[in-house]
Amino acid sequence: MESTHAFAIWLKSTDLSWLVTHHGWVWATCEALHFIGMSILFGCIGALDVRMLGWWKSPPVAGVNALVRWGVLGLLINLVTGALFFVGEPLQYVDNPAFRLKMLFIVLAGWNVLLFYVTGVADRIESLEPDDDTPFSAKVFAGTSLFLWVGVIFFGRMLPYLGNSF
Amino acid sequence: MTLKDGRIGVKGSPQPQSRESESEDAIDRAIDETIRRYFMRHEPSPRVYARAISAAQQPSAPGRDGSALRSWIVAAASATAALLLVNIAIHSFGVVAALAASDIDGRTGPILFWLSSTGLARWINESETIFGYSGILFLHTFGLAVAVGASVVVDLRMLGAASRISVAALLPVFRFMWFGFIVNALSGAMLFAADAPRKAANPLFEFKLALIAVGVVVMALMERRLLQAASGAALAASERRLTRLAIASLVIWAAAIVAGRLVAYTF
Repeated sequence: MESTHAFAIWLKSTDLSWLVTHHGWVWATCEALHFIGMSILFGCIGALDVRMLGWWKSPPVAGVNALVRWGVLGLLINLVTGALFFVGEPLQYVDNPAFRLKMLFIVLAGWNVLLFYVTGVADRIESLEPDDDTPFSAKVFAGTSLFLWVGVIFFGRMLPYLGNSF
Repeated sequence: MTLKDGRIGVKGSPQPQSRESESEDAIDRAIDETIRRYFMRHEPSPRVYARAISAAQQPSAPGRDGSALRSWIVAAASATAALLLVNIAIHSFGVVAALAASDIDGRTGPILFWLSSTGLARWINESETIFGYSGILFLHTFGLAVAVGASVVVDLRMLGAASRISVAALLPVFRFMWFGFIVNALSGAMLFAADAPRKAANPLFEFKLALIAVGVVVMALMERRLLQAASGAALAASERRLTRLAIASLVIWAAAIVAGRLVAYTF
């Protein structure tokens, strides 16, 4: 805990932190980009999730799979802008329960993706044609993914309400 | 009518002399051949054929289910956009002064104060539970992710990504888009009620609403175009237009998000 606070205080003293917080437009631009990245990420990953859950069965799985790389682009945008928020105001995040839960959910979502590929479920559904039903295991991964990403949005929104950040 | 040598002649017309008629036939054939070659050389592109075929195949004017409703939505959204744009034009000169002085009373009427004093608005503001302001704000963010996320999927497909998804297979995505839009219209109305006078005084808020209205019109147009394309008409003819709509949609949603974020910061 002590070292976490020491790290946060050091981070706050960096030039980058000063840059983020002392120009209003930097923070505002990052906020807008964070929301745009969220929409791209949630749209593209959510598309694959609803395909696997059977709520959008008309395309082949491989077709929807091609959107995942765009979802990764959204994730990258949000990792960069999110890191800038953290560098800018580290002290409002380190003790924030909403922030910790959000990070936990992001890690779990990453773990979910890793298992999805390692267990071979991703390969098994790759060749499914339009209107084909996915196996139960794929539906579990898809449902978990949707739950976790909605959770990430929820705890992100709760940062100022469960914690003290803006 | 006389039948002679297997040829049909018309009574009274000069009897064709065989040698002359043969040379005339040769000239006719030569002309035909020349015309044929000319057109072969200047053969129209496949796109022209596709357009002609699609035009021939297009049903005369049968009303598709729901097309009337869509037209109404488009018309209503267009009208809203026009009204808001006019409103912005009227107010834009007073904007800087209003922002500087925070002259809320001068720019808003009693209706907005009444709205923010209603029980619902007070409850949204004062409720400490998750169902109050923070929960509605979460719903607004969730609806944004669904609506814009679904739009992004459609736009990316129209710009060439994920080309294995057929045009017809893309149509159900609009259901998610409209679901997200409805969530945000309702949650947005509640957030507005909770803070009506200040939100109404913020020119960025009007700008955001105008952008959303235009964005909705673009998505409705896209859905209609895709419906036409999926129902058999050739996609080629409307493809360029769909690409333009996709770019417009991406730009407008991004601008709406920027405006929405700035609304949160300017007041």
